[in-house]
Amino acid sequence: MFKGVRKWAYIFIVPFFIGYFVFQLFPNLYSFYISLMEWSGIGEMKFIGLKNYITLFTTDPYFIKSLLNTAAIIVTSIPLTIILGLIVAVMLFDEKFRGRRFFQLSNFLPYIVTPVAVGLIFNYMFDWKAGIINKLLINLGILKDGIDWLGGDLFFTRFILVLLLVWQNFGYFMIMYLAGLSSISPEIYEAAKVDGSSKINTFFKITLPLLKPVTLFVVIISIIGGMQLFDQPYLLMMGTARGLAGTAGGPNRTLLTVMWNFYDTAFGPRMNYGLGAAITYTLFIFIVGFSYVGIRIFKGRDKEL
Amino acid sequence: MKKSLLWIVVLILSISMVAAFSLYGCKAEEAAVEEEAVEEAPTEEVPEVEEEVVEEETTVETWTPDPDEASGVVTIWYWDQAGFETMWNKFTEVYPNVELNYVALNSADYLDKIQTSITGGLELPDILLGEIDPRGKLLTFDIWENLDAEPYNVDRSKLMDFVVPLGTNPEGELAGIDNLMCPAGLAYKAPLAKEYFGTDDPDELSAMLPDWDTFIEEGKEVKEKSGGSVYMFATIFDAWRVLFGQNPQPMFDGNKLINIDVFEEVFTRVVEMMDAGLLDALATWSPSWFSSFTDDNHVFYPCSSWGPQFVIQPNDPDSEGRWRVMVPPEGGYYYGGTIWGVWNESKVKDAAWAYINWTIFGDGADVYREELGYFVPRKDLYAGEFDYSPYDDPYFGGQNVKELLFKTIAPELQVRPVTKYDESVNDVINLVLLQIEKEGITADEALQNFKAELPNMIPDVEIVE
Amino acid sequence: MKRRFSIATIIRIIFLVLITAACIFPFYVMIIMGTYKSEEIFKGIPLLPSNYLIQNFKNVYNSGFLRFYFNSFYISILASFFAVLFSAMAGFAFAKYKFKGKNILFNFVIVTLMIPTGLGVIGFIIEMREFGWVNTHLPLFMPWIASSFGVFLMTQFMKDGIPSEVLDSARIDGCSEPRIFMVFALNFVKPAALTLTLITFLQAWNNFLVPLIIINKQSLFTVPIGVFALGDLFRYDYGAIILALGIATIPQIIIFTIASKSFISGLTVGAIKG
Repeated sequence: MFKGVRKWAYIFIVPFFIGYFVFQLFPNLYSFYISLMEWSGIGEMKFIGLKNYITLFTTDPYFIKSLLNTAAIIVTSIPLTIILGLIVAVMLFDEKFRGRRFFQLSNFLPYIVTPVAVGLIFNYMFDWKAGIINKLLINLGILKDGIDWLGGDLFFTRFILVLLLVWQNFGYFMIMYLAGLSSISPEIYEAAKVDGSSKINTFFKITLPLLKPVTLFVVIISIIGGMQLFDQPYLLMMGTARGLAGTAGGPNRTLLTVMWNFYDTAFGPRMNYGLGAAITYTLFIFIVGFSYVGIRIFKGRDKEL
Repeated sequence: MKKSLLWIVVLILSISMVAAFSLYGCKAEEAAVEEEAVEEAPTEEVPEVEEEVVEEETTVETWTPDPDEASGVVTIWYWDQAGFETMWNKFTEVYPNVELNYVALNSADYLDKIQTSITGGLELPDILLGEIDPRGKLLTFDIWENLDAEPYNVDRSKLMDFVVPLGTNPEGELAGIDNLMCPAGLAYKAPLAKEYFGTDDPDELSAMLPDWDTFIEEGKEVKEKSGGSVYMFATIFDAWRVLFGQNPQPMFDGNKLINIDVFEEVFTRVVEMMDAGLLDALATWSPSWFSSFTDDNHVFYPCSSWGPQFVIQPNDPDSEGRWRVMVPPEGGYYYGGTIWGVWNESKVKDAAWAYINWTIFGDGADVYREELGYFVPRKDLYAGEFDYSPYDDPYFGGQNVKELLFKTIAPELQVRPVTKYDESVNDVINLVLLQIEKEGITADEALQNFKAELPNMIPDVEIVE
Repeated sequence: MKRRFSIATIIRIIFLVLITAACIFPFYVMIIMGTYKSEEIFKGIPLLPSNYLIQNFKNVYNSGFLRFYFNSFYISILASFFAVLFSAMAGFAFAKYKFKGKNILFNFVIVTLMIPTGLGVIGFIIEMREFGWVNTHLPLFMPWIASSFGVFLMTQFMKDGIPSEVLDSARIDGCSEPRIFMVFALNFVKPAALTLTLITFLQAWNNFLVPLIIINKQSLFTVPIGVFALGDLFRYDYGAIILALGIATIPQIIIFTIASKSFISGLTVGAIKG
């Protein structure tokens, strides 16, 4: 090692940690402090210890429900996104394929568009009476009456949200898998060919296992992001009807996610900041837990990864 | 990312714990000090105080700030820029030294933004507003100037009686004043009425539809004649708006939900309409609802005093003569309104009040009426024979909608008192109405769901059977 | 390939075209809606452009949208700049130096990735008040000094992206550490920097809650706040809003199209290295 170099390492990381302390750690600690209080955001605080946390798991009507909703949405959307992203990546993985760049770009487009726009557009497209999807389906004679996609029906409404999430994210997954595919040495495929392995066999026996790190990465990232799901369901439901004091979670609270529940608890008519803070802290623990489990499931069996 | 990950979580949590508890040590004392200040915590029942204040008033003049002295920049968060600027430009002709910082805000975000700003200790707008739904909650915040007290000395007796309780906070102080009266009727498309009821005359139609039973029967016929394509209302929410408004009994006494039978009654009615196929399913304020104003499939819409110029005409601009407004079956109701008050920590209280005073008690009231069609709730304006004749409206086929709303409907109107629970109750109502619309639950189930859900939103509520 | 089009190829093309059509359709609807008068959108099936584009554009322009657009743009640029610079610094330290507490600090960074955003809103707002930053744009870009995702990304990328030998030989030549960072580190991490720029740009651009609370001056509005305030009291100007949102998507599309190649290699670094 060179003399005096180590000092620079600290100098390089200090701005980040100062920034982190000021802009995130302090606010987060403050939230933790609030989570131990009974506080409406206005007026006095009352210390109640861990009561807010206990409330979440006992008497709170929405926390468990929102957790289950979130889990259901994650569990359906992540595998679908993975499958679609992988299929498209495999199809595009061919240097000679001419349209590759165009398909890559257009499939990635949904990932970079403003959530507000996505919410508004999907809300409009799947509107029961005025939406373009129902009108098209009726005009084409496929349906007689429109389907109330966003009406709170457990299946349809979640289906649309999952569709939105898959639509938005599979391009990102696709790019991840493309990179993963390009990092696999061609010799491996050659060897497989020599052994007489069919294409499909090669894919499942060789390619897929080699893509495991990519899968692990996208799964972890999706769990972290998915547990915090808020923008998409909120904008999907509220996109056009913001004037109407909408019910948190939409009709029947079908899409009430943990973060939506947090916003509604803290900033909505209930104005329960203490409980809201407790929701986010509990969510944090769940995210860490699920990520850990996710890592274990993928990494646990073969240690070399 | 192995074991150390777990350790870090534990570490962060324990640091948070320690930090939080040590923070608590000092905050507790502060809280105790604050507590004294907030001691006279809001209570719900104060109508008695109200009356006392009314009596001791009267001798003092309502404060009119001096146009030469009132100055500064007045901040307002509002959702009707064009309308507001029309007023403001006239106002600055009288008060030339007052400047405006207009911040556009969706009305749906108003309460959130106020709440969070209070919590974060941020500045509030100098002119505070309160729409009818979040108003009850807003009035419980200690942010309003007391307009009964010095220097404002508002003479309550000059205001229409029903608006005083609507702007009074739980302490019984007048915190804000409605800038327009909102009696409401039913707007309808004349050609549809002519086709299905044989008349498009508002009085004849009101006579034909004296009560909701008849309304429902007629609705069924309309449905039948049109082959199922014509609905009486565009949404269950519109029906609810009218019916619930016609039962203006107070919802709460303290934390007790009284008059649950009102909910029972109105749920029963809307379910009846739903079952009869009278209600379409376009969410109020949604684009499809707005666009339904131009179609021939929906007959009736709730219409308050601001409805003609802000809802109907902008959304069906090219149809002069197509609309009328009538007295609904079983009478009128009150719908909407916004109170205007002064922020109690404002640095430009005189300028902020100058504007409110000018619009309510000054010449601004006339500008409101002529430019925006707002009828300010001041008794003296309508004393004696008020001449409505200038308000014949060609858009409504020459009908005098103002006269109908203010002369026919308004005098008999009762207005439901606002409470801090209104927003929460609305949330639950929305939830249940959607269940009726989407799942076709019965009125009884609706009531049960309402009762079951209410304590989730208002933990300390007590439902009195 | 002997046959020009094998069945597999045809299936592949059809599948890709369908998927891509599904990807683009909502954008198409968005663009088309921007050419309609709000009342007309919901009547028919708007698949062909209408004639209201100019008027919608005027409405957008008249609501001061240009200003919001500019504000959002420069805020997002500054945010990206801060994120890239400070993440690269920290990432460089984590990737290329040995120092006490390195592992624990890096794991700390990873755990912070899992903290839900929005957790500290109230504390943050109180803090901004204390700093006197209310009604300024500072709270919208300064926090990007500390982008945990950025540090994570940069560290992963620099571990293999910058050969240690190059650094050592530079040191032998007497280069100071800041100079090494400026010359070598920043040069080697362009793809990662681009990725971080785009992602930070997106997030800063889309920020809604904090500016909604903290900005009380119309001239300081950003696009998302401006969009929701657009229109009159009881007439939601849908055509104009959609057009505004469409315009707001352009910078992201441009950045991505220009840089898609390096962007992709930057984006994927965390994934393949595991």
